[in-house]
Amino acid sequence: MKKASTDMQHYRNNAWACVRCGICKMTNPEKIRGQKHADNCPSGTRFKFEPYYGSGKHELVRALTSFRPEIGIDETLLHVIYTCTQCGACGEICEPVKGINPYHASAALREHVVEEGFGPLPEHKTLIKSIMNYGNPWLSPRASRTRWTKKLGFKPKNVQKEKVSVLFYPGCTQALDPVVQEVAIATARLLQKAHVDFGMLWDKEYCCGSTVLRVGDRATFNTIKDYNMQMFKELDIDLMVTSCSGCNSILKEEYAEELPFPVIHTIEYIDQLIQEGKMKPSKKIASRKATYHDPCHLGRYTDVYDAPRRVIEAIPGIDFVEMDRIREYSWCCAAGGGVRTAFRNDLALWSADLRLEEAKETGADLLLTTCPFCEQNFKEVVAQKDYGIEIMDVLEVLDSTLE
Amino acid sequence: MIDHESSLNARENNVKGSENNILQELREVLGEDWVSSNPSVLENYRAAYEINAGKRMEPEIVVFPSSDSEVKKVIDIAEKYAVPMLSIGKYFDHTGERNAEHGGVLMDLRRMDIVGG
Repeated sequence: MKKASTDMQHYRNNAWACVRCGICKMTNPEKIRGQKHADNCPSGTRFKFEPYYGSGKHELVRALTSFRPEIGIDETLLHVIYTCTQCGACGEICEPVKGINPYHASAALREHVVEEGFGPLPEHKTLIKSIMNYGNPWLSPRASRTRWTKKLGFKPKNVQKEKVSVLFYPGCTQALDPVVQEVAIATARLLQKAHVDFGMLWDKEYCCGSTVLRVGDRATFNTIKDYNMQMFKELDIDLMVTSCSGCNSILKEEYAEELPFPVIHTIEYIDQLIQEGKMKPSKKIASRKATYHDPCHLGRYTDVYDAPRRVIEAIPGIDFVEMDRIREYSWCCAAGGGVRTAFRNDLALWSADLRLEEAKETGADLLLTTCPFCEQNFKEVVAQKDYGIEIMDVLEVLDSTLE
Repeated sequence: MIDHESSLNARENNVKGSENNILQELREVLGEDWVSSNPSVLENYRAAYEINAGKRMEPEIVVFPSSDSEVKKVIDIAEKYAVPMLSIGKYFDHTGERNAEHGGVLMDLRRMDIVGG
């Protein structure tokens, strides 16, 4: 997804360019098997009223940017703006046809309500306060960020003290949440097994600010970015890898241009290692039928669709099947964009539930993904409802196939 | 001869004067989540070609029935308060064919997505 302006005036004319064809509300009809999976917008599908869809965002921009604003910012408008999962599915289908991307208008609306003093929502403010105080959104002390490394059995290098080739940036969620911590452990183990010269920032690692920007708080994000950029620019490394899709999108979108080294998602790096023959998954795992959920922040945001699929197919013992809505038309689990923080039961778990239904229809007993937020969300649903599906990160499975 | 202007004014007054009652009745039938009279919502159902008409054209209430019995109840309520009614499908509106010219209740049928349900 291209980086775009967040000035609302920039999108004012889109309200007239939009002919209300409704294509932004649906998956590409050529890519799905039937009407059952025709929807593509979690908030629109859940709440139905027109403003919840991509097309509605343009009308809201028009009404708010009129010489005399035609609507005021109230509770309903904030609900409309903050239930958008920022998945970008509306833009994937509208942009090639009409050249407009409702997602950009949605992001601009968020920044507007924050500038006007109405946003972000109280739940988001707690999270932002935690980032400013502890360097992570999980209200955990900075020292606890590296506790997961004790389960590794070896100690990765410190990039600030030793010269290394690759910086591994696990991100706050995988470093601190026990539900997805296994991914950070598996990634570090994989890098070690492939003899990659890698290191970490240890307790100096700070949140990338992804959630802060997604909820529209550009000013706070800039403070976080400045702090991180100062630290990153002093590093003598060749490559930065992150196993968090949220970090992946924000680092590529907002940081990469100013960084002296490239940033990629760990799945892309592991894919490269497998393609070059430096990593060979040889130990066969017990036969499993697996399907893959494309995280929005890896797929639609940074166009990484093939790497995870190639890695999955390289795992011996996996029978890989696809769901109906995949790649750029993948159904969003609604964990992102601050939705899981503020509308957990109402929208995030509801949307993840629909995705799990879709996964179950493939006959898979394993749902793979590459995003800690998707994983958290799916795991919470399967803990409440028995789908007979296990949720794992691709790298967790891959780790068990290497000697 | 019917005086259209005064008839329309009477209708508008009917909606405005009884807005709370009609809203309450619709909410009792459809539930809180499926009835809205919020300006941010109504703004999205404004007529695309109202500039040509020279006046603002938007519904005063938007509702989402989910079954034929709910549709019937909505129609009965609209009839009781003598307010205009308009129904739409998935709001495909290329040519501005669905204009809530006189306000009233707009019935969006996109929750009714099961054939024969």
